[in-house]
Amino acid sequence: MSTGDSLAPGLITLTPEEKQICAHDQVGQLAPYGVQKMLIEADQRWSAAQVRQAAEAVIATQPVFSARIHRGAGGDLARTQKDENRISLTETTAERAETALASARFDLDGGPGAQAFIAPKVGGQLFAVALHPAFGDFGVLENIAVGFAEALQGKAQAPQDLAAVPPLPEDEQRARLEYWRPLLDGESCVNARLPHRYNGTEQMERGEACHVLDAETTAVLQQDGTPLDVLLAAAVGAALQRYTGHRHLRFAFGQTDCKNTRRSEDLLPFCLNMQPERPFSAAVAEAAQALAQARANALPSGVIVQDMLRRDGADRHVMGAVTLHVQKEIDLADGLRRLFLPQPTARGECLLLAYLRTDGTLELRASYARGLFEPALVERFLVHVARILETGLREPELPAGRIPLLARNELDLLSAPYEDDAQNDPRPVHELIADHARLTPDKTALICAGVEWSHGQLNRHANRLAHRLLELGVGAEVPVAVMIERGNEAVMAILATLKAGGAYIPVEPDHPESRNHHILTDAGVQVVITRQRYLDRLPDGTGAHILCLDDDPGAGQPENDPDVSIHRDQIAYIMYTSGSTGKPKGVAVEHGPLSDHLQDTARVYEMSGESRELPFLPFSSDGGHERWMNPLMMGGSAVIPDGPLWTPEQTYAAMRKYGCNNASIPTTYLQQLAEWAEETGEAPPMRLYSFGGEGLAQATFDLLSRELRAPLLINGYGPTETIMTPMVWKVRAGTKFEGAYAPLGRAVGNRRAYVLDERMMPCPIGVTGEIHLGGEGVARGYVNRPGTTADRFIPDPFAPELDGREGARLYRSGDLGRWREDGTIEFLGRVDHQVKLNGYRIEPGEIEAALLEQPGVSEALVLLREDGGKKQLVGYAVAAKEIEEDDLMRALEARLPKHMLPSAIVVLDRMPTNPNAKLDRAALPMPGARRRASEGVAPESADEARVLDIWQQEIGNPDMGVSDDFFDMGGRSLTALKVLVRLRKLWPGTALTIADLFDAPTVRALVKRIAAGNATGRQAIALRGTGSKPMLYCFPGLLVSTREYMRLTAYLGDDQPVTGFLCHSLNEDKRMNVSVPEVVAGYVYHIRKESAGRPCAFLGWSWGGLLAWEAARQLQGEVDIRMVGMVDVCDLGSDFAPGAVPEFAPGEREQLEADMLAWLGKTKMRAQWDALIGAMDPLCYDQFLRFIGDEAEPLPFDGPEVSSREHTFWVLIDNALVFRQYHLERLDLRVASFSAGDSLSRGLNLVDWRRYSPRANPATVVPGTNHLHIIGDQLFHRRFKEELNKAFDG
Amino acid sequence: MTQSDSGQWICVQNNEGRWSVWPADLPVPAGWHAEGAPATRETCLAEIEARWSDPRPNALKEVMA
Repeated sequence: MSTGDSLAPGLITLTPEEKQICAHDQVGQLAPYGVQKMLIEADQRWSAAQVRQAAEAVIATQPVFSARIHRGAGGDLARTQKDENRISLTETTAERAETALASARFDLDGGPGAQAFIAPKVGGQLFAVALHPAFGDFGVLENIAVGFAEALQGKAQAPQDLAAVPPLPEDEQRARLEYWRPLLDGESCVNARLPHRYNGTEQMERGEACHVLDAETTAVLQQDGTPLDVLLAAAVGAALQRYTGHRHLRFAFGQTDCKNTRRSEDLLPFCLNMQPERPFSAAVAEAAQALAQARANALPSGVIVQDMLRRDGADRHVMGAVTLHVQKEIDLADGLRRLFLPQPTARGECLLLAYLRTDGTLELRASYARGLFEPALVERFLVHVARILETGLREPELPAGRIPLLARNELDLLSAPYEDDAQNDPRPVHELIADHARLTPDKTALICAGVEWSHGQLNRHANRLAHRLLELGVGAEVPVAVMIERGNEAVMAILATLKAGGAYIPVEPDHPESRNHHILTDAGVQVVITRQRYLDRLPDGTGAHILCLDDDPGAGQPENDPDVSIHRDQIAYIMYTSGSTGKPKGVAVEHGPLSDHLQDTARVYEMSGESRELPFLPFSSDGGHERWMNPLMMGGSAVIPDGPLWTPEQTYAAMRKYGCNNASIPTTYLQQLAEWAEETGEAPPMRLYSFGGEGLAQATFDLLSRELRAPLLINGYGPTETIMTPMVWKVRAGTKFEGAYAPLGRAVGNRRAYVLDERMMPCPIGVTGEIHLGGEGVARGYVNRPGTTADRFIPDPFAPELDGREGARLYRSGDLGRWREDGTIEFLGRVDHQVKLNGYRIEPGEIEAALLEQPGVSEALVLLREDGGKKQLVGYAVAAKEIEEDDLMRALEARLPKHMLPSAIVVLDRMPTNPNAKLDRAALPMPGARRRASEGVAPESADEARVLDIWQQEIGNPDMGVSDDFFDMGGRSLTALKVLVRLRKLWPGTALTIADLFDAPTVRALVKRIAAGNATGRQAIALRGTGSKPMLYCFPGLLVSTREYMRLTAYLGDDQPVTGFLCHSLNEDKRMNVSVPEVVAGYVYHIRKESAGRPCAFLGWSWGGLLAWEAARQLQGEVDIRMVGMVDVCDLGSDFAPGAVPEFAPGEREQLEADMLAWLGKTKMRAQWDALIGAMDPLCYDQFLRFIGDEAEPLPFDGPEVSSREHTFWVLIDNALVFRQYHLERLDLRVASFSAGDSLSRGLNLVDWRRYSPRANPATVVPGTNHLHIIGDQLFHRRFKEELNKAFDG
Repeated sequence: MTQSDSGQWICVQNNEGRWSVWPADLPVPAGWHAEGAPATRETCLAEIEARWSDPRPNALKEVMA
């Protein structure tokens, strides 16, 4: 604020960038900038004397070698350039020079910012320079290198000046900000990101990746004369388009001025419109234009970042999550070689550097946040950028979106099925099953409701019925409906149909009649096999033969296998899929692919004659049939449940009684089984559980894995159109997976699974696309719907090359997924659930994943719903009762970008399901009904009416009622204060504080409290009163109530009690000349009384950090303080620091004093101001005048309302007076400190707690947030919790 | 949903007599051949709806003939 232009002569103001670096250094986090190093090797062509001379010439002429940074009173930093400070060249050994570079340390308080060495080396000489990053970056080093090379070649070096960048005129700066704001904040341009690791977080740790384009390829890039930076920007843009699916996207573009002698690097945001249907040359033209525009509106990045971070919810990486730098290595003299490459500041999630070497190669390098990205993903991304460059230039007609990113062998590996080279028996499934009637006729085949059928018996029954069906004309392509409840006879009727050559259609008698009627008429059913009791459920006029099993339709027929030959291409069954809209569609499946699928699956499931399966999947889903056919064709048996629903107890009892070793169960029901097992510990041992039907969350999988006592688990996936379970994920129990849902795994049998983008191009690993399944295991198509069949089953463009199969088909699943690093596919939701809202393409699956990450949430679903014509995203979460919808919302707010936040979250006991045990979306409740049930409840007493009136006015919500929550309805700390002032006028005798509003946040509760005389007058608020961990006390910043800590409290969890103290400035009784120890006294009293020997922890935010420190000082030795968390704690700036003498231009002081007196004559807070000013010493008074003079806005006189600017201003000055007298003492306390990225960017005077405690660590930097918002930032919450846990554990 | 960059599609048929549609600006995969002129996707699908009356693959038709 102050001193900006009034530096003493010779002092040079630091740029915002330089201040930012110094601030990072001050809190011990210099790593992202790094010490800047240069190491040049001169070979024998150059003598030691020449090298020394040249090095000395550079040191004598370049300003960085004579620079220092000095700290003034209050922590203000400035740079000096003085010849007497010029460093000298150190001669040393090669080894020492390299060690010195690697471990270079600098003292920012007046020490030199550069070190320079020369050293002899075998075959030559070394010249090494290290710079503190606040003094110079790689551009400055390049300048040194060039100067050194010139001097070596005998060119005299002239002294260089420190380049000064003239600041932009203010209106020009404002105009340029106006240009950037809509691009950075609006919905039109997405901040492009590479796909994050599941649950990944950004930490300081970085990873490196590199891909080199050889000289030959690089030469091609430069042929057409397009500048390299434009070409690279276009390639990165096109690659990001492919990775994100977005056309309008942005990333940061590095600007380097290598002629500069100060810092040379800065960033510009770079917005592109990438059109994948147009060739790469169009992307190049777009990049050239966008770059020109960005440069025409260039601003220092610090200006843009600070402007954007003022908004809550701004992106963590304002300039861009991805940054691209393009640089050319400058050719030095012959015989000189750089041993280090330049390293731009490692900012953002992923920094890309394209570096054109003098040997003609192009190095693509990446430095990325290790916590966010799989290293392999970034490595591949570099390869893909290179492929786009190469192919894009080689094939100028090819649309950019069709440049292959995956090589043939990569696609081959990713799409490949489970390895299996066994030969399949060419016969159809019923013949494989009938084999066992011959081999083991007496062995059990089926058990249902206590009735056992042997393989022989089953076959004989089926044969007799088959002969009857043949008589009725059943044969190839003839549909036969089997409308019988699940059981032995249903299986028998199905086998009979197959034996006769017909196509069976399973119809569940219990399903809705309209659905069944459609099924029975749609496919031209010629025979219906059913029972007498279902006859009235049949539609009229089907013209079909009706066979009732009660009448024994096979009576008198032969028991031998009918002699019917089956063609591979004829239909085995027609399965009706529910489909999200319209009538069910019949999917026709042919015998060849069916038999192959079942044999392939039997091997994957390791089925044998010993297998006894409990298939719980309904017969109306194809998976239900796979799971009885599989054991029977292997000579094993199946236990068919005799009802649609069994209790877990019944299921386990059946498993035990019949000695089942396999079970196939819908995911939703399996969870209930596991929960029951968890409670009773009574799960029988099994060999294998298979499941599917819904996405399986990690928590549920862990539960199954732990409780079900089965070594083998299989997650099956597959649309009916690709036959039963074309993909499985087969794992040992206890396997961990990354992702919200269990992987779908790989294809089974003669199939391949692909993840393809909108142009049918295979997606790179980690990139979301639509799952496609190809190979022989796909259905014929939809019955009587050739158009729909042609729409969903499309030509397979990959099979000819990968498998040599021509004319193959690919099924578009409509499911979103992505390849994982291990080549299995992860499910992410439905394509048709992907929604567009306010111009954003949103995958609800991503929001669901974020919900699932919250502890206690076991299932999640996000839908776009329409309510009164207004579209909104609604999140549904199955969670324990104690999970609050608000808490979930807060957690999402901290994790997701604004456009992905649901409007509401509804917590449910369980998801509603339909008769097929599938999720019933229509049955989900609309939000709102429960949250605002109490809206507008009218007051019942005069007191309630008076209070409600005040609340409605202050909150500005005329609809609120006496049972609405003050804070939920929009009440803030300052509103609360205003309300309290007015309430105290109504009830002068009561000691109401904010604590009362917290405890009784509705009008009704508060009035009750006032009437009972229970107002507390407390300064401490129990944000969470329960929990077994030590209490966390939160010390307030200026004008902070304790509402600000609610999100943190929610994040820390149920077991962490939290108390918040009110800021003393929120008290009405203003006392002058209080000291920090006095302010703290009340808090200390509370802690002393409450802790009673128990351990606790402190958190101080902003100036609250000083209060926490003072409280700790007073309580030291008395109370066991496990940790003090210091959140963005600033020392007093130079404004009011004791000893910081302000400077005035001639006559300025007098003018300011006159202005102040004129203002005092007008303000209603005259008395308070007089008291405050009267308490100032002369220096402080001058500082106050300087402060007024530096204020951009005119002095306010809108007081004394608590929310007025003047009141805030008064409190600020009052606090300054309190704190300027306070000196931090050294204490021996565990300190964990946290700094907001923006505070460091502004170069705020953050306290380095390592100076005050031997047990303080360097600060944790929380990027993308500022001083005000850090307390609600979830990244901060996460780090804080980690530190707190460490402190409590150790 | 698969896109065609030109917005034009063609009807295609494979060696088994199965029908589908394919972006007109891409080479037709081996084993398939184009039938008719480029049109919108809807037009192509409507044409297939009209033309593909026998869903049986060629080999089965021969056996059953």
